[in-house]
Amino acid sequence: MNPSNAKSTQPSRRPPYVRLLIWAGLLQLVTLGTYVAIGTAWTDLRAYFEMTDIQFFTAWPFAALTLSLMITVILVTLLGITFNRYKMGVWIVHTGIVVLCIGAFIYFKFKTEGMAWIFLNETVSEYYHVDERALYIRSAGREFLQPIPKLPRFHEYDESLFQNGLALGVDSPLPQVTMKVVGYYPYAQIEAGWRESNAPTDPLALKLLLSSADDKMAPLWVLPKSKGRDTVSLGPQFTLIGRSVSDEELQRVVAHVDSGGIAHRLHVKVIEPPLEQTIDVKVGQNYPIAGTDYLLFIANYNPDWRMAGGPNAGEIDKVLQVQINSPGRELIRGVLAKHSDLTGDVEFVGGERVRPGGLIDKNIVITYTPNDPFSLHGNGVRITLVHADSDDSLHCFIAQNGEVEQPSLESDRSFGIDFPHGQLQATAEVIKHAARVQSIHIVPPAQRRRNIAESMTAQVVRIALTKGDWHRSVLVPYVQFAHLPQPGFEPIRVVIPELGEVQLQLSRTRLPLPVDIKLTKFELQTYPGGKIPKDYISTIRLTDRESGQIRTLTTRLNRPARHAGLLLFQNSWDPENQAFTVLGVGNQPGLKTMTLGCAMIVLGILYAFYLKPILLRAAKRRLAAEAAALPQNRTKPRTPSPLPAQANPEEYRERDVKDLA
Amino acid sequence: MTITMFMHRKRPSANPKAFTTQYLRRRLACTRQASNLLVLVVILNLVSLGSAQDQPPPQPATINEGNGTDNAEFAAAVQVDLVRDLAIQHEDLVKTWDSFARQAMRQIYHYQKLKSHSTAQFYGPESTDSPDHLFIILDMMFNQRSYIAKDFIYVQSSPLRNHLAGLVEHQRGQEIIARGHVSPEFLQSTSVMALMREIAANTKTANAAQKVYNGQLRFFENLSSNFKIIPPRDGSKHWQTVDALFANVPGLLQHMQSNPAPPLDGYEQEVATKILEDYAVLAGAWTARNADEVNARLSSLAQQLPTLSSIYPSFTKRQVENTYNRYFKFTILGGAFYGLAFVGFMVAFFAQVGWMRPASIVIFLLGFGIHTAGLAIRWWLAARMPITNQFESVMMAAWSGCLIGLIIELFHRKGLIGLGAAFVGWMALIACFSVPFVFGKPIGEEISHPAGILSNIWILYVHINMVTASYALIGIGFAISVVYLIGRIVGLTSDRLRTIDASNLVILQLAFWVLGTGIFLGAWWASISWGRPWGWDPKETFALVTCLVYLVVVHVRLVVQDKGLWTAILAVIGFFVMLFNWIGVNYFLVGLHSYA
Repeated sequence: MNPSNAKSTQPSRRPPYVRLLIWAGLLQLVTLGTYVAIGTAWTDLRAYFEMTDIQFFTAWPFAALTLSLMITVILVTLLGITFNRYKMGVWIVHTGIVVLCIGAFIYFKFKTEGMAWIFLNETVSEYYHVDERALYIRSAGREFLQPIPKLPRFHEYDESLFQNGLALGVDSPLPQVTMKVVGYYPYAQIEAGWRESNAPTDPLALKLLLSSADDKMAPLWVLPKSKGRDTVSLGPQFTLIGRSVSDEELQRVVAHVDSGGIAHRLHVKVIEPPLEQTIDVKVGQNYPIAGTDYLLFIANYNPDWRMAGGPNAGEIDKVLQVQINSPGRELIRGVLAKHSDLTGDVEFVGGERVRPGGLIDKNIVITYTPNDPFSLHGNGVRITLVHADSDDSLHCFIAQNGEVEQPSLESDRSFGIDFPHGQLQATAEVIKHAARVQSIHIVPPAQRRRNIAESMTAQVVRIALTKGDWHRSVLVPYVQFAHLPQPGFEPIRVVIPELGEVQLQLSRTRLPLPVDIKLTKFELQTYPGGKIPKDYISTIRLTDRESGQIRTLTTRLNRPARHAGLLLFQNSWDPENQAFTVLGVGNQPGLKTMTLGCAMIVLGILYAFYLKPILLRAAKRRLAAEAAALPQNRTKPRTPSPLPAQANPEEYRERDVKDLA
Repeated sequence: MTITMFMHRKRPSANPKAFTTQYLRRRLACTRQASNLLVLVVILNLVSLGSAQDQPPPQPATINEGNGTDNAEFAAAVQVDLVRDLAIQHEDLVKTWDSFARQAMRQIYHYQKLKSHSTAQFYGPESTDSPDHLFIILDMMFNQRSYIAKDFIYVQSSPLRNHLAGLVEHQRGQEIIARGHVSPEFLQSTSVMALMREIAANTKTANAAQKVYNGQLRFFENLSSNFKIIPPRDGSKHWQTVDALFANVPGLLQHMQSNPAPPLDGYEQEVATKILEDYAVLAGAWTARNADEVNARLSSLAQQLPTLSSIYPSFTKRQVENTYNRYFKFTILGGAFYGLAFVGFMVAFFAQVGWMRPASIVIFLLGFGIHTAGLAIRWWLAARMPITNQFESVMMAAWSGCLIGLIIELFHRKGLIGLGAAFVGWMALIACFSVPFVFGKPIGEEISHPAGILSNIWILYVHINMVTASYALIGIGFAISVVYLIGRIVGLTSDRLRTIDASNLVILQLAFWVLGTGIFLGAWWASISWGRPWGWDPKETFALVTCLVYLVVVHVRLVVQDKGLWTAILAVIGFFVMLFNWIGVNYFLVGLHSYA
């Protein structure tokens, strides 16, 4: 063989079927690469098939492609590569690829992943699946969870499309009620409002229209009868409250307003020097505590404080914010009227917010009795419309800066309101019966935010409910965690004849955990002397429900906790108050198999690329030495050699390197 | 008066009239601040402990709306070099005033130096030279009022520029479209605010507007509250602005009618008084355009501030930081040597000039030395491995590639791997220098803290280093492949072509192994920190695709006749897939690797 002409002669050494297999393998590689590239870059294609990336890459064509590549690799290795120490590298690599693929099949078959949202000092025993969605149906104190695995993701489907055979039935846990998904909108907003209705069962509503010289606002509706009191808040500066009262109660409100502005009664107890005082306070005023260095400033009063987390989550309390000034220290204390045990301090140290979750200055204890029985006061401008049942009269109270006024209503029930920036004209109306109207607003693509679109948090389904000849269709928005009381994400309520109120929510599917997780501590670490977060550390207590074993573990960024095949990692957190943490929960099937495959590939390539040439060089030297030691007329070496006997080592090396290169 | 006023809204969509009134109020606050400082000087003289008695009485300050010529003279007379290397905490990081001013200029004005249209507006039509960036930032802070009507807030988005241009007469509109600079006053005017409300529906323009208002305008307005130059005595605390010292001088807070605040730990009254006085007189003299007084106070501050706390960065560190920044983070210089070496290697190979190869290696070594110094300095300044953003990863990748290339070149001795390495170093360093300017988007060239997910873990650093090193090797392979293809076209002998192919193969095999191992390590890290080894994230999948291309290279050589050509073509394709993955994915696809 002439080395200079090796180019043309060399490939013929390989049997044709091996060459064919190599070409087939190359073709499969290219197809695989194209599939992966398209699946990643061409998101519209995935959306066309209503598939997430995970679904696209676990779809049957991908699996088939991988399987056929595996078979090709196995065949090529068995048929085309001799098993000797020079070819060991390729063998290891090819075996590694097969092992890796098997591991990957196991992994994607059994992988499950989700999130567990845990408030401080609370225990959870369930988690939410990362992809799968379910309809939560609550009726008469019971909750039913109906997964909808076939719900689309990316495209809008309206009723007509669903009627053409696409309607998804949802198993209804309610007697004689059928449920169907008849609409799906991946990025939409539900516009809910009220309209006047004729049905005598519909509740009474109060409607307020606000207008200025150059602007008019959509009417605000409050339904005072729903809970005796209904509130609409438009930012921190304006709140509208509706109340429906008896004549006597109306008298009491008027009497309270006539008695003057509010002065809450504050009970201050100082431990050192021992002292107790009772003061009547108003918002925006300073109160020095005689005999001590304390100076109290009443910063704010909020009658609608909604508690987040804890056993009283969702409950409303009246909170007074008191700024406690003492030499060298300034604290803000939120004093709760009913739950005085939950009172807590906030301190700003070097521009950072410190909130230990209890009192910082334990030397001073403050409780208070609010003097605002009708919750007229609060932040900014608060308008309370009071409807007296018996004579259908309407009264209005406007509270601002701690003072209440009662404007006289004109014949058309209009009145003026003084805002800090000017005056607005308001008209109030009593609507005898009001019914809720829901309409869907599909957000145009130009206005969609990419992160929201990606996280799919703006999706809405339309559910049709039928019972006998009663039927209704409701729009149900998606919430990430169905159990949390999140303002704006309350369940949709439907009143079904004979069954009463039923609540509906679309959320991630909730699944049981094998352990109970209690968050005992959550800590945010920042860079020294700064505010930029560096690490989040959750200390959790796990109780294994099967074995009863209790373990205390910590998870932090890049340092997950592991328990019986379960991985718990830091997924999200409460950046404001560190009141909760969100842990990622998942299993890791097939991980060891995949690791083994990867290790084989990495080491095998090293062997094939870098160890084999060294081995070949050694073999060449040995052969040359043997050839030199032998008499010239001998053609065969005495000891058996892995190399073809007649080969000249130089040529062998050339060929072999080319062969494997 | 409209209804939207009491609704809680974000800035650009807020009510135009309300904003105008708010804005007027703020303008008044500017004036008040200046007079406040004067009051401060008087009070300090009353309450101070005698040290201030020897000082000359402060000059009465008048608000200088900016006579161009005066400004130019003042700019020339103020010696900002006195304070250039003082330290400040910004975005949680302690840096020099010079770095802060550099960054602030880039953020507000987009360019580090004033363009001629701005110099004319600020310093009179005949002045053309831009003053120092530190001077401009200090001027914006002390003399904020005179900037309100000047065009220096940069609007990057061109749709937004077009919108804004539509509001003014043609000539001015064309200027806005061409230059992008507008004034704070213009941005807060009724017509612009109304426009902002109109375009708020479109996410893209709304985001661009948000950036201008929240990123640039607010940054300009808050310059003085961001000027945190007083170090804490205790290293775990935040740095403070000079105002934080008010409470350290008894009686001052009441006089200043300032909010009650606790005094700063560890600052004696005497020290606090001296700093406050220097600063107040400095501010007064600055507005009064009294350059001598300004220089005296600057030099006094420059003496005091570094002695305030043990955590103040050392003189050497601050000097090195400024030098590092002044020479464009050593990118241009290193890149120039690499470029020269590349040309040298080209000549050495194609013209077969024997002495050119060793000469090129020497030039390459010079470039490599500068490159190494740049990375080492950055490592020292940031106190972490410089590998957590695009700028750093490109620098580090090129460095690894150049080091590996250099070592192989010294053994392989064909001049080709050196050629590839020089090409990669050249391209990478030039890109690091120019991309932020060309695309107007920072790529992390300024030192900052990495996201928390990137800390705590060594395996991540190995992963990033291996993957980026493989990218650099792929770049070297690309250069060699191009040489091969040129060789084919110009008709080099088959022996020489085979030499090129052999060199190419050495690099590609290494790149393939390093990339593969890097991906596996990435999967290992991901299984720890994201809970899954593989998430079909765009970066991951395109790294896989890149790897597949080289897998094809390795196997296609077994079955084709013309190995060299196939290898060269596939290496070029692989290079572009890699490039798309490294750079393009960040811009075109969403993913978890936003920091890579």
